[in-house]
Amino acid sequence: MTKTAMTKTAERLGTPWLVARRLLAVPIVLFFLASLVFIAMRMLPGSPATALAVGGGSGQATAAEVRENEARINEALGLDKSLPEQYGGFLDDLVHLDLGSSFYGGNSITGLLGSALPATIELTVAAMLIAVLLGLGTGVLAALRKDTWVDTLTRTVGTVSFSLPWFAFGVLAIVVFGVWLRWLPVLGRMPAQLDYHPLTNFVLLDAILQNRPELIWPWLQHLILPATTLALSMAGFITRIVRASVLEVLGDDFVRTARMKGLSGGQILRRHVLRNSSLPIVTVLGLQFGSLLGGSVITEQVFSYPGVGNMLVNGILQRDYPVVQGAALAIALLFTLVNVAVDLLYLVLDPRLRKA
Amino acid sequence: MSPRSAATDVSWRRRVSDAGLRAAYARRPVARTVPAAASWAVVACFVLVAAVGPLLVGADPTRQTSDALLPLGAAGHLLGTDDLGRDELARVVYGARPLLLVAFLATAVAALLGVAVGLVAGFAGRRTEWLLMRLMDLALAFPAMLLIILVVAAWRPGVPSLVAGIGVSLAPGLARLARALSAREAGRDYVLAARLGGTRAPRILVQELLPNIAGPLLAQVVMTLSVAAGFAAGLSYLGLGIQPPTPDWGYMVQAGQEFLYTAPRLVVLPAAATLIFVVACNFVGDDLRDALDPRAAR
Repeated sequence: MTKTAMTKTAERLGTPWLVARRLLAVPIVLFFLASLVFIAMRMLPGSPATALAVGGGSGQATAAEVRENEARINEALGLDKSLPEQYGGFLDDLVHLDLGSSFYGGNSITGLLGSALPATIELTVAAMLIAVLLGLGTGVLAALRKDTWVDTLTRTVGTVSFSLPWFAFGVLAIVVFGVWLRWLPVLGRMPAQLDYHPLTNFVLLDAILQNRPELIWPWLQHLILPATTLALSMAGFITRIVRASVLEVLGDDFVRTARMKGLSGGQILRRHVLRNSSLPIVTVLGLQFGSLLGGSVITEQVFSYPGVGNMLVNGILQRDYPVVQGAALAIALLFTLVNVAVDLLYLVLDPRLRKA
Repeated sequence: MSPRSAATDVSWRRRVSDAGLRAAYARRPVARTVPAAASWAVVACFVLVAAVGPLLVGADPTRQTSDALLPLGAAGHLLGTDDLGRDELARVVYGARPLLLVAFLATAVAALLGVAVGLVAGFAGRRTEWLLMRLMDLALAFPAMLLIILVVAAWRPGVPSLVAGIGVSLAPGLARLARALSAREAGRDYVLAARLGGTRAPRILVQELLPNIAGPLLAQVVMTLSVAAGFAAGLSYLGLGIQPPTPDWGYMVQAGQEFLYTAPRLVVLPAAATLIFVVACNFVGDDLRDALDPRAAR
């Protein structure tokens, strides 16, 4: 009953209602994600205070000293309060975008994310671009040469590429292109000796804003291996989807009409065939973005790339709660926002959905 | 067998209808294409190495010696030694175990959890279905990798947490499939007959319904195995898997990265082993899916 009522309301209100409903879900999802992250953090084994209290001093601290240190540290970090109080404080801070500061070194988490998040966004966007280009090229090629050795080879390579374990491929790429061939740098995001003063932390944007085109080339050199490593699994998916949708469309009436109108093969491909593949491609990008973010955690570790994934893993290994919490929240936020963006993009690309 | 190439021979598929499904299962053998056959062989090899390899190499993979970083082919150490003088061949052979163990166990957890939830959700009333499936959606609100990392970190790195984390994050996919299949079967006559005969719901689910949807489910479970292997390898690379000194490919790659320029084999051997195994698993999964669930085939 309620369902039909809702559908009717949705029909009457149309697209704006669909958009609004999708956007309204965002804070709710984020609230759940934040709560889950909070719970996970409080379950971490070994209090960070213990680690700090034991490791802090030189020489052997007595048990009593450790306990006293621990209590002092717990108080300073707010870990002595009851869980509901901590949770209330956590949500309050979250609303004010105050994510606390690292247990080690005391850097503010918001500040750390300010430099890590753009790095991860650059990496994932570059990976998506590479994946779409590779997937489109190979998918169209396989479809046009259907049932020949080109098709078989492309599909086999596609299957291989989407199951490649990121870290294994990443380190092998480092060995081949960095160590043996010495073509590309293999670690970090920018050469250390380069004089780079981040403004937005998006290198391309900074290069334009600060009028320093010489930043771009070293940045691209550092980006190419990690982005390609990350892109390959997605490219394999896109190859499959593009091949299937091109094959489907090629037999359709409107393609025959276009051919009869005298359009060249290239024009038909661009205007009719590829436009129809855009929706499945966006679907893959959306569905696979979570996996891409997960892959970036590993890829960043392989290439010592200073992104959010790197921050997350280092935080876990050092038991640095606030760092882990901030990084996990940032990844969850990015994931949620991209999913919303993809859903909204559907509405733009496929008018049929607007009536749903 | 016909002389036509296996890749283009789809005659078995044309026979597929709901009634002829069982026949189709029987007529579509596995490993008919070259990549598929090769993958089956590779996976079999790896399982064999993990099972009996350690008995054959003799050397102890954790015994440290003063012969650090011996090159390939050194006397007594076919693949050389690592930075702590441990025999690399023994480490690579023993290192197969954790990955296979975690991948298989995690897949089993995902299968049990996902199939149980999906079966019940498809069969039970609306409310139960809604609740169960929203619980599954919750696991999908995180990127799988983040969920696994948080579970492992919140518990303690090691086999149990890894198995639980990967299992839980892969269960929703299986639950959705199981729910759809079980909802479809729930309306069939044989289920109604069993109900009228007084059989209780749990018994119907396990004895009547499950056997009828086992094919497509099993196919999906095998696909899950290769995903689980990928996650298991990735997590152990991050240092969140099996803890040293137990040899494990992922961790060996991470430790070996320090010696990229002096002894790249410390990275190349375990990385290549992981890569070959995970990719082969995926091909085997594809092949089994085609064999077990003809309707899902392209």
